[in-house]
Amino acid sequence: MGNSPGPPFRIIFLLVCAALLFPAALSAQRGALTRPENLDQLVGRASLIVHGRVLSARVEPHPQYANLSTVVVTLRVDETLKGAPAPTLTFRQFIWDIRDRLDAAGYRKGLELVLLLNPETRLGLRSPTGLEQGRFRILRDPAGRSEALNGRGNAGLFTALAPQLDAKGVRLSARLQAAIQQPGPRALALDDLRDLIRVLAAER
Amino acid sequence: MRRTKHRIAPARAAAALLASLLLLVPAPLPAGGPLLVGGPTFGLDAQPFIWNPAAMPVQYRVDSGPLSQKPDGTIVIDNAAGIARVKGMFDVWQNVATSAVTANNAGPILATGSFAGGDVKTVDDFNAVEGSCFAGTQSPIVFDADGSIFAALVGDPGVIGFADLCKLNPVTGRIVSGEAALNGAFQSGIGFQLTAAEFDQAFVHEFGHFLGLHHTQVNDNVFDQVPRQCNADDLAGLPVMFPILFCQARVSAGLPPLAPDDIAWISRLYPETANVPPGQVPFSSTHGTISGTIFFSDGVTPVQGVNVIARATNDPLTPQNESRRIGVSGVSGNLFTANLGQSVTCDNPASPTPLTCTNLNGSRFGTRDPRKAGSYEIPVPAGTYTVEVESIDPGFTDGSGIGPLDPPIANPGVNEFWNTAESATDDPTVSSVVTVAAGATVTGIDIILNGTPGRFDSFEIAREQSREPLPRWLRREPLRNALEAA
Repeated sequence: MGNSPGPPFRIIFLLVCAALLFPAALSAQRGALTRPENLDQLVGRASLIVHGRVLSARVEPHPQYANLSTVVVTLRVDETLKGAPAPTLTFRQFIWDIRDRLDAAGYRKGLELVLLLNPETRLGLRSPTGLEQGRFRILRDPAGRSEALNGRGNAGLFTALAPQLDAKGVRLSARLQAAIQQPGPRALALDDLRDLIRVLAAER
Repeated sequence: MRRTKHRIAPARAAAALLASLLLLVPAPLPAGGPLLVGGPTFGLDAQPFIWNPAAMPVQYRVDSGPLSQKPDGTIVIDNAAGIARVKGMFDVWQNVATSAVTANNAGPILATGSFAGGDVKTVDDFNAVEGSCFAGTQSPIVFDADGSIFAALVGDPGVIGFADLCKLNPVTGRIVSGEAALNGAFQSGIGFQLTAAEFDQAFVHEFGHFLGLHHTQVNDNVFDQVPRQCNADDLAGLPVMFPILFCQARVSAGLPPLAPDDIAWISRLYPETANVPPGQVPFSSTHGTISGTIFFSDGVTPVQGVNVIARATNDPLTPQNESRRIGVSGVSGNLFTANLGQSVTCDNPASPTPLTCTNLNGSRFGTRDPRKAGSYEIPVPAGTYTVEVESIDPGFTDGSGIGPLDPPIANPGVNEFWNTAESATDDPTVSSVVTVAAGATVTGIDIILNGTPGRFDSFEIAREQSREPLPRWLRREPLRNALEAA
């Protein structure tokens, strides 16, 4: 570590610069590319955010467009963080990759997730915001604590987030401020993710 | 990590040379890099799915509409320019002198079903074209000029594009058809945009998948650096098939469009065998192969799913670091099924069937040959190399996945180099040099991991066995150091 007296500011400044300069760190659902977005953007676009477990997932054609592959996912909803609450949620997601068609896009029965979902399209299709960026697997660290990790390893999740929140006048607790000011991507405590989502969803 | 290089003892070197001479015929099986590998009941056992080398060029067909247009209909990149961009992306792969892969624009996307030909601009059009791709009739490259098709299918404005294999021949093990869709909204000048170089490199990556290449991990340490400011040596060795576009575009940094790993693997899948046409070079005249098996500490049980990298030895007489610039990777057990003997990671796990999910059959992909469970093969330019193992980054899952296991396991041992005194108690920082001649395969570069449990049980939680529970880019210190250094 350096001994600069003000690393947080420099780090934030550099991250903001990097975010403005760098559109990439592109990756996505299998076989696809998405633009990187931070948590505020992902939450803002989501019409429904839930925490729950996969009850079932099956691959089937779209009912209207037989050549479009879809995965129909049913979740047991433990908590609704944004949108109308319901005990279960079923949605249909468009998939294209052959591997997704073989393993139901990784929606395994019992998988614990926090899902940030876009509004349903006119075709009845629904995807996580930013695709893999809005799908957080819940893991347990060696001490048994729950952590959330999206399909990009949380890279870019907090990029430029602090100044965005400052500009909106959003105040975070010291714990959440510390969470979003970590300079590098990392697994995020589930409680921190849930609290951040609640704050970001409420300010809209 | 300290790197101490020992030359191979003369007797061992002679043995390696003899083995190499005996193996001048290229080994039949690529061992890392292929997107999909055949199994006993689907494709050719332990062979990657590739386009038919005897039927080159790969024939693709391109949308007749513009590549990019604004919401008001103003065309930003017209069809001719779009076709030229696509050709340029395929040319990046086709121009590899040691690879025989070629691709050809066979013309506009064919009329099919309700699609009458022309511009693919509605979901009805796309659905019909998709059907023809699944049927193996054509391999379409779709321009979603204003992003409206993506909006209807995904409902997310952030999707830049995708590529996929539509149809595989389960008997011949060949790719029959593939597709790609490019979202022109990211070149329209409105909203979030990519530079032309970034957009093109992104789709060079996607077309790598289209040609049968998987992701690969070399120079993962770029995550310790500042985005888009990766250092020259690491960037030179960073494959286009690296899962995430994190650094600046290669061509923008004055580098060739492909890294040594990309060149080696596309050549391994589609090896050039002649000097025809002029400029082409037989793969066996420039590259050789390093192969071996990764073992748990018992020295017997193979380890599947760890990353193995062959790095060129550095030439101290040059200002460049060749060990960062010339690296080629493979994943242990990449040819082996990921699902044998358990029902956790079976195909379509929510609807298991005897075909897709039983303890007996496993996944339809990948061999059941136990000798392949921990084996690797790495094609490399002729030269001298060190060989090392590391974890696949745990953040590389789903769309950024690497190798047969998704999510990947952590290296159950410690990261280490191969050396001639390989054992479960050797110094992991000591490396020996492997000399590879063109056309030869150096076998037996086996690594016994240090300090592992006797055997990894697939029902255990890999994370708990990890010596490095978080990947570099999920740890805070290195990036902070890099930022402060900047």
